[in-house]
Amino acid sequence: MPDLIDAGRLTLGVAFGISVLQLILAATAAVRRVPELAVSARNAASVQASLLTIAVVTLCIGFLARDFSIAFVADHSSSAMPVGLTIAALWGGQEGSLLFWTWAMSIFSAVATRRMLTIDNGLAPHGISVLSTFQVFFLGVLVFTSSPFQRLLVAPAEGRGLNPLLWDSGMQIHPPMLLTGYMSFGVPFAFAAALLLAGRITQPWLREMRNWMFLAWAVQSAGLLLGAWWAYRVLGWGGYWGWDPVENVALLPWLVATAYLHSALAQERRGQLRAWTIGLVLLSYALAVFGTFVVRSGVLSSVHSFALSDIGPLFFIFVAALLIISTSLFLYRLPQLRSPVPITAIASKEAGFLLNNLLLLSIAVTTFWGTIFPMITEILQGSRITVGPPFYAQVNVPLLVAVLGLMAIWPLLAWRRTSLRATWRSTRTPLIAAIALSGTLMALGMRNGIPILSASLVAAVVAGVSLELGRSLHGGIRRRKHPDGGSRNIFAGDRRRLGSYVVHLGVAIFALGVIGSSGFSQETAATLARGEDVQIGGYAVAFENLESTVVPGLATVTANLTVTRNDTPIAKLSPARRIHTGWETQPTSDVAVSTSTPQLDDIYVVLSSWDTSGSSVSLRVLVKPLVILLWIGGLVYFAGILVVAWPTPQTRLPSSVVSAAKPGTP
Amino acid sequence: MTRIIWVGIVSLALVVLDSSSLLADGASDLAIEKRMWVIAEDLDCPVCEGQSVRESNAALAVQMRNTIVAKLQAGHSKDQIMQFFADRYGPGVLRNPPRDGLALAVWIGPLIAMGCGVVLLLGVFARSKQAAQAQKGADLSSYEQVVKDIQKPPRRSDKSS
Repeated sequence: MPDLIDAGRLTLGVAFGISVLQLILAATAAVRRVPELAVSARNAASVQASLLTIAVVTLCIGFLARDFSIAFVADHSSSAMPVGLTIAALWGGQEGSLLFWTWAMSIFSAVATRRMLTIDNGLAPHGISVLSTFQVFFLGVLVFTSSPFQRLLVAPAEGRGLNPLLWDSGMQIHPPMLLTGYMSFGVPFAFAAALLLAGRITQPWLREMRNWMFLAWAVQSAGLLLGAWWAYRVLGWGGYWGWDPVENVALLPWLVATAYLHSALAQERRGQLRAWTIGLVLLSYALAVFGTFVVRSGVLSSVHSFALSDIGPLFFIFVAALLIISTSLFLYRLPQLRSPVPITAIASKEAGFLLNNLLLLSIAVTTFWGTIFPMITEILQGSRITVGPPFYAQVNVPLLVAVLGLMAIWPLLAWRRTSLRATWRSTRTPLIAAIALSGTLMALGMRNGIPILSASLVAAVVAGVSLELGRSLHGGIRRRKHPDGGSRNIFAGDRRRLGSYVVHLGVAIFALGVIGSSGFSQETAATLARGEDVQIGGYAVAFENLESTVVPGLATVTANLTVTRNDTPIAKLSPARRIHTGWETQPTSDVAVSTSTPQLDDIYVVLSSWDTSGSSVSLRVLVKPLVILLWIGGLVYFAGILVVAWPTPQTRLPSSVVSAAKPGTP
Repeated sequence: MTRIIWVGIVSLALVVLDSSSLLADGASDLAIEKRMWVIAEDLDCPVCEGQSVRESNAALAVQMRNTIVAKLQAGHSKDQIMQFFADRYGPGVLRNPPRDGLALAVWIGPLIAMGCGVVLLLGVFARSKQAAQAQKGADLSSYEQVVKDIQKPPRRSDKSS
């Protein structure tokens, strides 16, 4: 067998060399204004992507061949692991995830450099320089301090295996999704930095930057949602979001990117907020790298501490340099960036974008502050103060409710300025829906303020979105029927707007899930003998029997339970505990969840412990209403993203030409 | 036979980590249990990174939950119980940062940031009002802009996406 370690090292070394070459080419092209050199730099980017692909494949072969002379393979896999999981072990540790990041970035860079050159010859060399600087840094770290191809002098007969918390199908997609998300904010950053370096702004460049930002935001959304799903199904505490530092830092770039996507609309349509949007792009990447720094350095205590490592200082320097350089560039160019068009009135769409940005950034600032605060107290007074979920519940939840309110009203307003009457006309339906729902809820005896308010706002958002969707569909159908032709596709008219309404709808459904599960959960712990049951929230969970199965490397104990409601059995649940060889001190839970219909309660059971004879078990039972709406809302959200992103033909003939070419087509 | 041995081994491993016999002897009283979970939610489990006493299955967390139940049954208030744990395990055990001393800064920080944001925003609106008043003569051009906006075929805006 060829030596994988040598092959991997060589590939990474050459890739590093090429990234340096690429930087030199692109920088020379930028400074000397020789666009031909930028073309060479573009080719270097493609070569680099190929080399990194080879490096990733090499490491995968190492995993599949169980080559435990590679330290990373020995540390993160074992022969007992199934193939899918073995590949996923690639991002189960720091070196591997760094390799994954750099590989994904190289592919994104290769595509982005091509796009840059087709769009603007003059700006492209600057953008490519920035992209290659990132690659030089990450490849440098990979080659010199944190190589996944370290040789073990004595290869162990068996690998250590993967952290059992990560033995889950979520493990196969959540981490690479988040890594890709974090990484992909680098591309719009390069676009923005190119504008600043060159001191010139062009609309096509801004549009391309927005598309990359949209992509990064979509990937980050997927990463966050999968993370929530993973936490809910695997961590076994019945939550999907705990304001844990590692979760917080993943949320930060998402918040800023969401703010950006809204103000970018005002930038495109009305030329407003130009400097501001560019600032947001820069900030989002700085936060993304800060996020990886936090995950990788272990500076903040968190449940994700299995990712501790020694490359923290390097990342710290990288974040600091990124922040200092981009901030000073930004301030230096600020006079040229300012947009000439002022915001006109508060009752206008663009003012809504400003308010949206104010709220989202306030949430981001609060989250950032709360995340780093324990570190500050440790430095200042030597002991750590914990900033936990109660803090975020008190500060962020009101802000999130305000975001819902904004979502309900402002999308319905017109651009520029609206009269009071027109405002009332366009917003009365959602307002009436909100008032009707809050009245109903209070009549039903609900008295908790925040849930009532936010549920009513959700109703308003849904009403407003449906109204708009209906209107657009109606218009689309009318256009289709029109003898003059028009698009056959009823959605083609204003796909971006429609798609974003669908995304809003997804967020509203998601919010309803959050309201239900955070405000109305019930929890109990019980020790049950065979045949006994525990009552909670109208359900009875009865213990039937205990089973155990053993395969090499893994022992599983499963409790079989029956859930009944009003004496009718509605589900069988089988929570389990797994003990992996080599990780005996870390047994993991297989949570059992069942959603009842039509109440939409999740019955969530964790097996805590059991009697050796199998005659009794201790369980934690939670009833979590509406959690299913989180995942449904997530799906709707991504459906909306697809509607926005669905490729449209680049050039579109005027409708009269189309109908002339295809006579008789409606 | 091997099965029983395995169950035994696994159980032994778990006994070290887990000893949730909480409800068997402890809170028969549902109201007290409910209050216990609320309090446990606000306490950080000192031995498990980033989990609350409510969420954690660690032995210490289970013990702390039992302590809460005992103290509730003895008539202690939530504040007293929180204070008890803060004295015993340090202020880091409180998930809700106190509103005094250095920790006050964590509460004030966001308020200051939001205040700055609001001031900035009001500034933007004020400036735009001035600008609008300054160029009253430009009314016509903005009217034309409106007409242009209206006449724009809607499908043009998705060209770039």
